[in-house]
Amino acid sequence: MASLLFSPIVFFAQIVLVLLLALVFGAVVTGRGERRARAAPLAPGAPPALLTAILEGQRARAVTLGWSLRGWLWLRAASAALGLIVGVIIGTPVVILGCAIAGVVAVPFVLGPFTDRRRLQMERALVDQARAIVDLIRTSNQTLDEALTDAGGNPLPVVRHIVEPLADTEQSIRDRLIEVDRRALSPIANRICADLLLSLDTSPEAFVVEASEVLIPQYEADLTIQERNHAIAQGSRQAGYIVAGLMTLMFVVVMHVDTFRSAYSRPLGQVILLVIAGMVMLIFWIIGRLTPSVRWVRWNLLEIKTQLERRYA
Amino acid sequence: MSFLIWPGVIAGAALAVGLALWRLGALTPPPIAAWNRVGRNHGLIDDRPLTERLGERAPFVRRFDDAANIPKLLAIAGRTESATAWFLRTTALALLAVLGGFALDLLGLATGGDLPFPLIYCVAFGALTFLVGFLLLRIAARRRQAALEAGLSSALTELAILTYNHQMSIDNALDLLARSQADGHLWELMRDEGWRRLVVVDSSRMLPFRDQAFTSVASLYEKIGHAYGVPMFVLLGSTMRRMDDKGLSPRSVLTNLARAVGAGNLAEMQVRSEQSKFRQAVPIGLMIVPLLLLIGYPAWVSLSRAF
Repeated sequence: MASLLFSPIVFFAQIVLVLLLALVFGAVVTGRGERRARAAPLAPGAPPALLTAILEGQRARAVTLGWSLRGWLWLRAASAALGLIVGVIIGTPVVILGCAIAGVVAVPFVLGPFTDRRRLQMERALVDQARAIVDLIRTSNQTLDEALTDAGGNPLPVVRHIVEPLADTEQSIRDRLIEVDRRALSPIANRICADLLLSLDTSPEAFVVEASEVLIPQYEADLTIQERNHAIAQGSRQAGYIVAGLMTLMFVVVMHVDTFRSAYSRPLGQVILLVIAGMVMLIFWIIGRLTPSVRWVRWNLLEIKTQLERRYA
Repeated sequence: MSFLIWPGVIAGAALAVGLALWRLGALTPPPIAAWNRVGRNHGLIDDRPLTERLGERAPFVRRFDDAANIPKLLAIAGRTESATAWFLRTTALALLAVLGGFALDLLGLATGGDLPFPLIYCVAFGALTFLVGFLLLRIAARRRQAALEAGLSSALTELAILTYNHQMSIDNALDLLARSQADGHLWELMRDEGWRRLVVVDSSRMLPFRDQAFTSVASLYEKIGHAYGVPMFVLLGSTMRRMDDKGLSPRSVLTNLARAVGAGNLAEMQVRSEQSKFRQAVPIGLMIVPLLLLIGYPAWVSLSRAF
């Protein structure tokens, strides 16, 4: 016992333990202030919670496809279940897990081009609608408020669901624009609504000049950037399809051979499968990192409304 | 050579003590110290850190200062902690990594009777952890710079709308727009003059108003742009200055600026698009590694069974 107590290893261990405890204590004490500072909410632009952000993303995809959020989530759940069943049929734990994950991510991956095309169509239609509103004000001497209401009553078919709240005259025009933004969930729609909200106080003549000189050219430039962005994303997606397709094909071929499948059913084989899955994920991550994307600034329309109302109050 | 070590250590220690005394002002003659005190009261002394002052004359020092100035990086990244707190926290994490290495060595010593790796490696773990902490801080600072740049360049069209017909001044409009951006980066900088963490407003010879010196918004924006590394602020500030000097209308100038920025973004997007076409070949080429592993492992197992 005495030899153990006075052994250098135990003494070394004691030093390591004491220093470790001191460091943990120091980290807790110094980290508390920083955590408090970070926990303090930012007044207008507090970032949304993770779950809310994920749900917003899913809702944006569903809206673009013209589906409800519930329908979209059901499709994803069904795809995940299908992946799970395929994994169970093949048999090994890693394959079951991998197939379930593939089922979860497969739907947005496969429907990606269709979603992008629909979103571009919708955004182009929104810019056309904005141009039509300007023309309406120019030719028929309407105010912006009236022209927006008119646009809500006669929308372009592609954006009917998004623009129709503009015709709801029981709400204020600002609330109607906020509702349009809530339904569209697109950066260009968000910008159009923000600009219209800010332009409500200008005279019709000034708005026409402002829209022709500033807004419409800006939206067209935004649309061009968005089109370019989608073209790049499409190229990256093709690279992703090649990787996913080839890996799936080879996986099926390998699992079809009994000796190969038995090699993968061992514990070491399961680890190798995990390593392969990790490498494939890394390749997808690299594809994502190599895809340039535009940083869109999202406007908080409720805050703009509050600011404008406060200004006039 | 060993007889040189101790004299070297003594000379080094003396140099360090001398430097510390010089920095603390103990070596400054009393009349000069008194003059410095008087000058500071009248705003005649440059209070900036030594590296920043030297950086004006030597570009290398400025580049080094931009890359390694922790208080500046913390301010750009929008972190509220002080440089000392960051340094202590990162050092503590580095020490934790060193201790983790020691613990692993101890475990190996207790179980196998031999050190798994030399103790000096643990110091390397610590240095690596410190370096990672520093790199993470730099990444956070760069991300915030990019967010501020994007936030301001996206607000130019809206600035043109709000200043149309002189409804609102540019600084009021920017305040409203900064509040209205959902990510909040721009507002975080503008709120309660948060930019004052890095921007020093020249207050010399303005004794009664030293806290609220008479500085135009245009030059403030330029200073913010230079201090935080956001060129769009400099561009906006110089545009405002031009409008004031030449009597130009904000509408046309801001509209043209927004258009130029939009065209620049489009051109940048085209360049990145062309570059990405070639870069996409890299991950497809990398795919050979998991493919070889997928086929190679069972083949190796089968062959090892056969022989």
